Amino acid sequence: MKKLIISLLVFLSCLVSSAGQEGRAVRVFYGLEWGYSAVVLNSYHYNYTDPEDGYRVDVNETAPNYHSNGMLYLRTGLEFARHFSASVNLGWQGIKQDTRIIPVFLRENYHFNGNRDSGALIFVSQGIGFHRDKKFLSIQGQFGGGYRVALSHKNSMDLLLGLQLCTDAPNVPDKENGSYIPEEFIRSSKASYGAINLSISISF
Amino acid sequence: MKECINRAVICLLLLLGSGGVARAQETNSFRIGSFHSAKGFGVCYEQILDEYHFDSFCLYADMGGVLIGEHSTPGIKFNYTRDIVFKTIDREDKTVSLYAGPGLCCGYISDFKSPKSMAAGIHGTVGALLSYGHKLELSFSFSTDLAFKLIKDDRRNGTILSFYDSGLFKLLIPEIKILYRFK
Repeated sequence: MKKLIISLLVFLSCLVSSAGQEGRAVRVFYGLEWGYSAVVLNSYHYNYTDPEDGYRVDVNETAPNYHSNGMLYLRTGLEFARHFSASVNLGWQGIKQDTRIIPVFLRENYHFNGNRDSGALIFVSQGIGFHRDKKFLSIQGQFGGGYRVALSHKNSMDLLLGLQLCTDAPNVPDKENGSYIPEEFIRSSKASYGAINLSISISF
Repeated sequence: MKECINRAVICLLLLLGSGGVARAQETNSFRIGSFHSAKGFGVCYEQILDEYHFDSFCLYADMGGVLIGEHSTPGIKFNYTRDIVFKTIDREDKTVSLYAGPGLCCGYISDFKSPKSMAAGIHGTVGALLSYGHKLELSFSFSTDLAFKLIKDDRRNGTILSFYDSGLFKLLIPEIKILYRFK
């Protein structure tokens, strides 16, 4: 994780320095983003010892599963070149039923008409998500596109559509009695959730 | 009791609505947009009466109980306010109009740890409207409800009037409107 963060910081500093060479002022922006997230695909891999008969159980399943979630981020970033901007986002997000994370991620945008004009954009984001009730860190990545409405020279509104993948280590359900397998019997619990995100972002 | 509330709400709406229609003929400008908040999502219509007054009508899905996991389906809420612009700030790239206004609210909405119920009362808003010199405008606001709800009382086998507790606490939840101005 450290390597990832350092790489991203180096990447950002390179872009900022290249912007300086272009002679364009680097502008800091901040904003708010909120939206709707529809989880459409769940993938699980559980490996545990059955508490009653002691057999090893391995469950590997990928299935479509629809659940609605919401998201809210505070964001700050840099417009470091005519077509590029990047932001650090921090907020709150639901990733599946009864599972919410505090995501921290970096998003890089490419604006086809320049970042201060209205026009289409594409983005990639990558980061981590903290859970309130467990130490596990979710990894999340997203890519997508959208349209920027330039409200003024400094203010803008982005309409975004993205595909997101997020990892989790959920409690393992015990199908026989409807409860969860105790932690000491679990060897591995991994899950990935695929979601379609629809959001609005306002930047100042 | 229920009939009295309904009549009072209708009278107030007619009173405020007739004033709005009379003034609306002066400017004939209006804004239509979307309402976004942790309270819910919906649509809004703002009739611009003159430079300093506008009527705001919002209809949205009340998500209060859904977001905290108390309810699985949203309620529905309607707000009306007569907003008065009390200060205008001209910035380099935009005009910020600070406004506040009283109004009415009603709906089938959720409250703290209680089932959804019919509620009605008075509504107040304070906010800032950001105009950029073109059709798209943004509004940031806070609002509160001083309302009562009708709940079933099984012991008396009837309905009783109870205070809508979360209306006051929702003052802390920001609201954003994305508006498109016509004319």
